[in-house]
Amino acid sequence: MATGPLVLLPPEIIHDILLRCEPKDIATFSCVSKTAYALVYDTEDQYLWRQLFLNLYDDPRKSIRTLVAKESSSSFNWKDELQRRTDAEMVARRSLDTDPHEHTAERRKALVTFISMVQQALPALPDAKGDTLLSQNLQWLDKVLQESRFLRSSPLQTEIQLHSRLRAYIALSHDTSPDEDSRNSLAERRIKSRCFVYDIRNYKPGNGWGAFLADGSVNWQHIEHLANVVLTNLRELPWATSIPPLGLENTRPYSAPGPFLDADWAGVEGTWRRSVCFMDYRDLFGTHSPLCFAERLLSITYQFTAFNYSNVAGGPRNPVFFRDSRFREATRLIEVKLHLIEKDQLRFHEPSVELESSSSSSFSSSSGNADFDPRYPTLFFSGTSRGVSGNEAKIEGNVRIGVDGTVRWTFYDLIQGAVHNGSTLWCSKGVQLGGIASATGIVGSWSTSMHDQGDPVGPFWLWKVSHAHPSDLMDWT
Amino acid sequence: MKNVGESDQPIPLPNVSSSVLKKVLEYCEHHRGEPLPAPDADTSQDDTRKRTTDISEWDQKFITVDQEMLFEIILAANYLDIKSLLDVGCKTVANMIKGKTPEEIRKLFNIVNDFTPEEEVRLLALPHSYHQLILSFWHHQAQIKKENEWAEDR
Amino acid sequence: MASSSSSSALFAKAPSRTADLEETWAFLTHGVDHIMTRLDTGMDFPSYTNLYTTVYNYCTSTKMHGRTDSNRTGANLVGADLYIKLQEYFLEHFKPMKEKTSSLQDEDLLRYYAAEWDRYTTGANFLNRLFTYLNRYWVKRERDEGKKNVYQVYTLALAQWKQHFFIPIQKEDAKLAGALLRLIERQRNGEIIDQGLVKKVIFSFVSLGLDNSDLNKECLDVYKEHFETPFIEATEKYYKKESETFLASNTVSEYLKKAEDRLREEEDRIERYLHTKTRKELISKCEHVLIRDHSELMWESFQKLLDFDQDEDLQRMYALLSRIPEGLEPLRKRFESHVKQAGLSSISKLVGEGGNVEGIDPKVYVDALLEVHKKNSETVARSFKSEAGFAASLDKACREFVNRNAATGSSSTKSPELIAKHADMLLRKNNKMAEEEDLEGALNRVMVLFKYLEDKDVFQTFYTTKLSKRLIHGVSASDESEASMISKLKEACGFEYTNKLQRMFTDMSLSKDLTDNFKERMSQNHDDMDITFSVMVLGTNFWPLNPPTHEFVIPAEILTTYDRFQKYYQTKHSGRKLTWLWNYSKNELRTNYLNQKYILMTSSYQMAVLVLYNKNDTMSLEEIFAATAISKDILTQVLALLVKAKILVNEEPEQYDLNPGFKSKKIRVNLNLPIKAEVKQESNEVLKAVDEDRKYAIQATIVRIMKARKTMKNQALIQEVISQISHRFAPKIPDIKKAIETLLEKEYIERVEGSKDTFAYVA
Repeated sequence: MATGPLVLLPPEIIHDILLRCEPKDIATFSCVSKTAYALVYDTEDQYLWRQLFLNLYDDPRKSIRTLVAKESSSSFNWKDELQRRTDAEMVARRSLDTDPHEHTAERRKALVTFISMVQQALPALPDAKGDTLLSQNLQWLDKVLQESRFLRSSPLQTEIQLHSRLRAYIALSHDTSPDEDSRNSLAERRIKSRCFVYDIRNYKPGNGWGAFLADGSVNWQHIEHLANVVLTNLRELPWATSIPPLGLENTRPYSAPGPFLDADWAGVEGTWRRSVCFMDYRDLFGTHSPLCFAERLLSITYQFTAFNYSNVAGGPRNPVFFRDSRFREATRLIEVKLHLIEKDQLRFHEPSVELESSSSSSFSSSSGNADFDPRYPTLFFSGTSRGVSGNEAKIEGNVRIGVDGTVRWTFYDLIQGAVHNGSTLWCSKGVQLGGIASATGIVGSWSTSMHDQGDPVGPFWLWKVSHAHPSDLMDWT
Repeated sequence: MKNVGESDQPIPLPNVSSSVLKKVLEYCEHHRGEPLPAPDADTSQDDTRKRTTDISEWDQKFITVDQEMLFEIILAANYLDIKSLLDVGCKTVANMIKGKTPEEIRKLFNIVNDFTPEEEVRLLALPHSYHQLILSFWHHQAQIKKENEWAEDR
Repeated sequence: MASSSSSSALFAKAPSRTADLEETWAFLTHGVDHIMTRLDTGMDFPSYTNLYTTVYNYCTSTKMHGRTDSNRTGANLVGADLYIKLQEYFLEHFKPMKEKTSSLQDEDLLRYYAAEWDRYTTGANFLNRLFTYLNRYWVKRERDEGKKNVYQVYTLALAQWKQHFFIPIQKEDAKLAGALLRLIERQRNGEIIDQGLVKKVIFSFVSLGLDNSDLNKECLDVYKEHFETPFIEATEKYYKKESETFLASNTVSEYLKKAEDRLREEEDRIERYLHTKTRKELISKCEHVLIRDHSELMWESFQKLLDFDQDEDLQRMYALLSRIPEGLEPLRKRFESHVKQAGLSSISKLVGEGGNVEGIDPKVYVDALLEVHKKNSETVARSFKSEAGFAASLDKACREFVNRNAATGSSSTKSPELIAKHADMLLRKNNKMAEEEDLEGALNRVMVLFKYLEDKDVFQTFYTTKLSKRLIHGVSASDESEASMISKLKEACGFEYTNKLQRMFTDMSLSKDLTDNFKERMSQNHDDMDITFSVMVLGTNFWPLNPPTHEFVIPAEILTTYDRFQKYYQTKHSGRKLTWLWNYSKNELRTNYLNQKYILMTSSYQMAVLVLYNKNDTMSLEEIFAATAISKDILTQVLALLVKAKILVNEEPEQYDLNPGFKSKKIRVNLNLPIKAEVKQESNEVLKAVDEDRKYAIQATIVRIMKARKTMKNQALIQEVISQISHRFAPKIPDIKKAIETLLEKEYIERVEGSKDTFAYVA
């Protein structure tokens, strides 16, 4: 058998050569001859596949994942995982040319794969040399999702959760095109999201009064809408610094400003920005007031006026409501400073009504249920919240790993001098977008802790900033 | 460790022919004084992140040799543990493989296709994505070829 | 091979490029053995190259086309069998060494072990390079794959040494560690030992530690298990015995020196031949055995060292005990009671056995207190490095004896009073402290004691009274010193504390201007101003002065001036009411009825009495009373003074005649002496004022607290009041309770319904 000098090289050298090629070239090479095939597919170890995988993606052994034990080199199937990702890319790239209904299983698998890539992204911590590298997973994923426009198409009913989850991670960072079509479609999406977010029917005991599903996992569709509402509002503000860090890179674990202390796995301690949105009916109902509705004034630190709109006929559920040019939605930027405390240092507690009404323990956030991941025990914190007027309110809460492995934040604002008993407890529940201590931060919803009928709700976004962050607190209507 | 490394005697290098050695020395001469990569610095992370196929101009010219010499240089670099030269050699071969069809690779490197036709069919039916990619790639290549031919015919 | 000791190639006949394992290893094994055992005889380059090439050839020998036999498909790397052969070689290599060590003991064993270690690691280093190719590919891939028990050749050599040579020796009663420990003990006993040898063996233990998850990380497992742990144990045993024996026949002072030396020696030992990570455990063990275990004894002998001022020993004891947790606390306690005792006995001595508390001289009292403070604060600085705990003990003790001692008895106001009086003496004219600097220093020393006073408000009241006297009588030594003292008080107690004092100064300077302006105006309008007049207008709230309690008929001689000033003042400050403090005013009278002209310096009352004698030579008490309206009890004292000074004579009851034969050695005769009733009253009045102030202070504090908290329980409220107010004085609980009652009556607060001991703020 006359054979050229290439295959006379020792296999270690041939592997070295192949690792400088594209996966496609390696596949091609494997078809050249039996020996070549054996070099690619019949090795005892996973060296070639591992290296190939690491050429393109983050090392999963270095990932920080909740509910999942650390990967070891031998337990991880590099070849299968590499092929799963390549499959997912193909499904995404073909999605515009194919009928989604014929490919439900593949599409689902692709979405799951993409989400797992976000979860396995390399934490944004400096390596041994002190450099913080970009995440190869997320660079790749961002490119594939942008180019394929996979997430632009409307999802199948069965994939809404997965689809929304990815979209929430991307957080409109792909929707920045100034052309009219894009702007129009964004405007439509904003109305849809407002309808969802301000619909009181989406907050009930069955979903823990927040963006959750009945089994205690995150309702990503809800989270996406909450994110959309806050972001589209924030984009109208004059300061660029008032927007949380967006884009997949910012979903990486520990991409938030440090430093991170050992006991503080969630990166609680430090300065945060919080953006709270709410509907403001003053203009709408101040001049024409044909409707009779229950009115309730709330004087809280944010000093806004909110109204019970759930009884309003044709109220916020109707898109028409939001198209009315007199509609106003207010956004408040607040500075929050947090530090860890022990559980027994908590001063205000969740009202018992919440625990009673919640049948599933997965919603009760500060009560004594065991941590889902013992490596990340529930952390308790307290701190202050300061609005543009300089008023300070006390904040207290906890962060823990939820039943689905997501990082959950729950906190209470104690506002002095409001309606009930001289003080009102506002309750906010949110989910960290991406990994632990991601720069993008936490998106969720707020309401009163009593969840009385007619209490207002709205979205919020909480993200960490460095101490030197410019103070740009403001109210904006 | 007397005598080691301070001998005036000629050092026999049984695995390297004189013509190849001359080439290798030329390379070393040119790159003399450049910092050596730290031993053990090649953790898997660095391996992967640095795998590009860019070759400097001088190296490009240096490595433009016939295939036999190319492989001889790679082997010599491997034997003598000259990392940067091995790198240049491997990059060069990788560049030769890239973007080619299996048949083109066989032709280029004088490799005999020892698959039976049955094996080949089975191979292409493998569920690996790569093979599907190759199929679509070949399909695409064939189309371009057809279009080109069609254009030429015109 | 036996003959080839020349420089010609030792290993000239390399196997062919396609040689199998057997042939390859047959060649390599000789080379490996030469490197491991006879490297000192040299190795020529061609031989080295041949060996290197043989490894390379074998590792790259699997040709894709050539070998399709079962075990070796072309895709896999070659190396495992070479690696196994190497492992086997090392096993053989140790056999004769093990035999040798079994016959060696102690230093001989260590010497042999160290020499073999040198030879072995040098050879292994060389082998590692020879097998570079194996390391580069096969070993690396195996490790990448997660096989943590596959090592680079050098590390393999170490792992084999540990498992097949080191551990077997150690299995025999920890023979190596034992030899090391015995050698170290000899050094502790004062012998000279080969420290280099000890260091070499100990650091071989460090090299043998392998962290399988990260080989580059230093791993001290072997070092800890086979050396550090037994070493610490031996150290403990050694020093336990030594310290007990030593203390049995030596004093504590000598032991302190000994312990200090031993600790320093062990620090040196770490530098010389131990791993630095051992420091923490070794030193803390030594501290435990040498200090902690004998701390009881040290604490007990502390008092003796203090009593005899054994500074050096005190310093040493402090330094040693500061190294162990809780070591200093008993010293601090003892020091505190020592200082307190010193202060108490100093004052007791002063008061004397007769218990003459009343006659105690403020200066002597203050000096005695300061002396105790000075001596002991020097001890804190010198022997205890000004450590905060000792400084606190000193303060606590001083606070105790400054406020309560033999001179004060049970009175909490005596000390502030004496110290304020001392300050008054310092600040008066004619004080012996002539130099400004001395005065400043003395004032600073007053402040040292002031810091310890509990009833600062008592001091404040006395000080205010004394200051007002200095000012209105013009006997203050200097404005600078007064200002300096006030700024010191302000620094210590804040603006509020000295506010009144500063206002007093302001009034003084305003009064001077007022007098000047008034005189100028008068000289423009009238030319009959024959009375030299000066006036002080003092704010009622700031001065601790009381107006006369009785009528006073203003003598006609000054009435004009009086009226003019009243008018003048009303034009400047209409609506302000002037109250004339006749009881604090003074006058000068010139005598014209005697041969010698005298100037009589009098109080206003004396003046009012004396001017009556311009028209009469004799007057009855009733007449004088009718003419002046001075209350009789004061008037009799005023007259008594004049009689005593022989200006008047009182030969008939209640009748006073002018003495035409008055004589005095001085031209200026000071008749203005304090009358007895005033002197006695002074202290009592001051204390009454303090009580009144305190009542309001407590009430104000309660209101402030309740306003913030809205509701509060009785006990908590009392606690809070005490904590807020004790920087001014130590409030008594009955006083607080009384204040609460008062506020309940005044309806500032109310009882919460259904609760006995909870109060609520009434807005």
